[in-house]
Amino acid sequence: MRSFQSGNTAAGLLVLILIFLVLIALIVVFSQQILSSLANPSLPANAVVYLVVVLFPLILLGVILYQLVRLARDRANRRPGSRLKSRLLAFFVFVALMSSIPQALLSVNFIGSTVNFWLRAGIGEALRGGLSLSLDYYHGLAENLGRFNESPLVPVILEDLGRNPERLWKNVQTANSQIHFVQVFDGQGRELLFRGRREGRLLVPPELPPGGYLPKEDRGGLSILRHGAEHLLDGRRYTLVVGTVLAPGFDGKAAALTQSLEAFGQLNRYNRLFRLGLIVFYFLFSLPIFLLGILISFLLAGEIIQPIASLEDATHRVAEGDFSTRILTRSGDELAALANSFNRMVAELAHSRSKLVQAEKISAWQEIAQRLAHEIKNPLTPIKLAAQRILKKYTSEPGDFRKVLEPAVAAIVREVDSLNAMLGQFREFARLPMPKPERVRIREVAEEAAAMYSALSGKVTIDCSRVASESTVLADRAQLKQMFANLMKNAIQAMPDGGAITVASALVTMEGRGFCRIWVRDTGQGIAEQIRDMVFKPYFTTKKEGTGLGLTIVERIVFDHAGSIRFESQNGVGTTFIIDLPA
Amino acid sequence: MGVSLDYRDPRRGEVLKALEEGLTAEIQFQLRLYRRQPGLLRFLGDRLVVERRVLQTARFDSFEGRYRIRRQDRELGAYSEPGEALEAFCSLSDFPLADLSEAGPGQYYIAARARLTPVKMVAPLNIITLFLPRLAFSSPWLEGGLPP
Repeated sequence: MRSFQSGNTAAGLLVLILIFLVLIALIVVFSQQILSSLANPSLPANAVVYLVVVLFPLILLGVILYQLVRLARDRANRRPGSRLKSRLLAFFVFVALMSSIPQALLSVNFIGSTVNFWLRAGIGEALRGGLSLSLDYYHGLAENLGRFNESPLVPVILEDLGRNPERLWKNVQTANSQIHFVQVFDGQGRELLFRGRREGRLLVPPELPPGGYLPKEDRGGLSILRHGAEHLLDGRRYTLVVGTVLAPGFDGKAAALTQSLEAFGQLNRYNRLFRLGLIVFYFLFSLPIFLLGILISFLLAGEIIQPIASLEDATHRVAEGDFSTRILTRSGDELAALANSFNRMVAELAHSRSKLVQAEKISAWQEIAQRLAHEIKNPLTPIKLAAQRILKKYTSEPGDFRKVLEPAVAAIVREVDSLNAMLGQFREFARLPMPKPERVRIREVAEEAAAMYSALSGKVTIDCSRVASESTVLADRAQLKQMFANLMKNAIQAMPDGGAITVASALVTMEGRGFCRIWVRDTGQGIAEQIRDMVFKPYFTTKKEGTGLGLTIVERIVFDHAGSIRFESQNGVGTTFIIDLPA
Repeated sequence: MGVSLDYRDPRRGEVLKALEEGLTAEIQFQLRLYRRQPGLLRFLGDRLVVERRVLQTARFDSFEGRYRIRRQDRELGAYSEPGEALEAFCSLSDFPLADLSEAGPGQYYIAARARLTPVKMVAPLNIITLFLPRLAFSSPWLEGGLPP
């Protein structure tokens, strides 16, 4: 019993769906991180991203291409289910594109709109305004320090330097509340006074730049602004440093503002490129999912098509006579019911066919028995007459007995020989064994058969040169030789005045299967139209000494080799026997 | 042994333009110290002794009104003059590469190149550098022997 199974791709399908889900989860969870760090080639995590973005689609493309090539090959070989699978696959891809294209267009539009929104929503103005305010505040503080330090009030305040430092500091604070500390150095760089917030204290006297504004100092998370100026008091040179400590976090916030403005500036500058980059990334990440979807479509199409392909294949096998074909299915759907119905139908067909074959056999043997009886009866009459004539002469005219004896005995012997030959042919036909196939070169066998009849052929020529020397079939060598021999003998007998026998061959394809077609052509008188249906019937012959089994044996040999035989004949032109044997 | 490099390219002007727009510029110096192989081993190529990458960034500090140059995570200096800032940004001065006090003459040589990015893109905008490599310019490798 031949069986087919469906549903063996379920595990592969499950694995692919699992990969599909994992890929989606990875993209959802890590997309932000990937976008942030992808441009930095030194990050090892990016190797994984490149693997997913570049290598994975390539692998998927390779697998899909392999599947497509297989499908194309199956279609070329007319494998059951291949056409339906192609159509199903095209349908799945069409559905996938139908759902992906609008989604892609929407995403592309969404990306563009979002980027444009951020560029147009006044965020740039807000950032620039924020930075401008910060700068105004910062510069305002710095200028305030400079204005104070260079004001004519300072020398007056400094008069308290030696006498009352506390009053000096109090006066500074009263004069400018935004000054958080004050420090005085003498001409030798020694510190004479420090009052106010200790974060502002310098350990060495500063080198005063033009304008007196010292570089901003970051200390302990605080930013410190200073202004230094030299003052002459009682002929002595003093350096007065005043400063202010910026609000905690000012620097960090200012840096964040600067960075945001920088990012905004870049976005503004490379707006189109960035949108293009996002779109390219969208497609790079969508492509593996789309390809995975197509691969799943392949498996799904295969899963759906499997029972139908099995059914088609089984139908072909049944048509070829293999009634042991059965379809096994694990599913419980309508296709399983169809498979069960098919199995029942084939079982009933096999049963009916068995009965029919038995009946045909009985009928055939009955016909053969009748014909055989008829053929045996024919020579019995002359034998009986010859025997009766011998007896009559012997009893009535013993003198002339010798005259009758010899021709009568000769007639009896001839008829017995004829009977013997007929029974020999019958035995040969009945005992024709099952073929033992081997790879046989047709031309060799045809030439061997032709050689057997070269002495008998007389004026008939036999040409086997039109059989390709490399042309082979899977056949029983002896039976094939007998087939050629019988056809050639038949042709020779059909051309008593001479003629030509031509044997040719070619490879042909019928219903997707390869056959070797053999032509055996003679230039005889052809077969009369009224007897063409009888040509292969046992014991049918038009020849005086024919047994009527030659072409029957040929037909039997061809059928036993799963081949077919037919002939074309034209009166006065000749007959061509056409034999198709599986290549 | 200290290495000094100076990157000169007409596109240095793009750096100043970017800095004035409030953007950050980046330059990466790649230094390789090779030891020449003796005899037949020369066919196998010279041996890479040490390789260093030095990353410098420049930006304009609007608060200070000065150009700030940083190397890796350390501030190199702040400059009021754009020309001075550009010189400091595009050069590497006496960078310690390796200790070769006992090296023989002609035994070692240095290969160096620079990669200038006038506008250092911030994430995630930096993805465009994958599609637009012309945002950065690389010099060819230059080789030089060690002074005696």
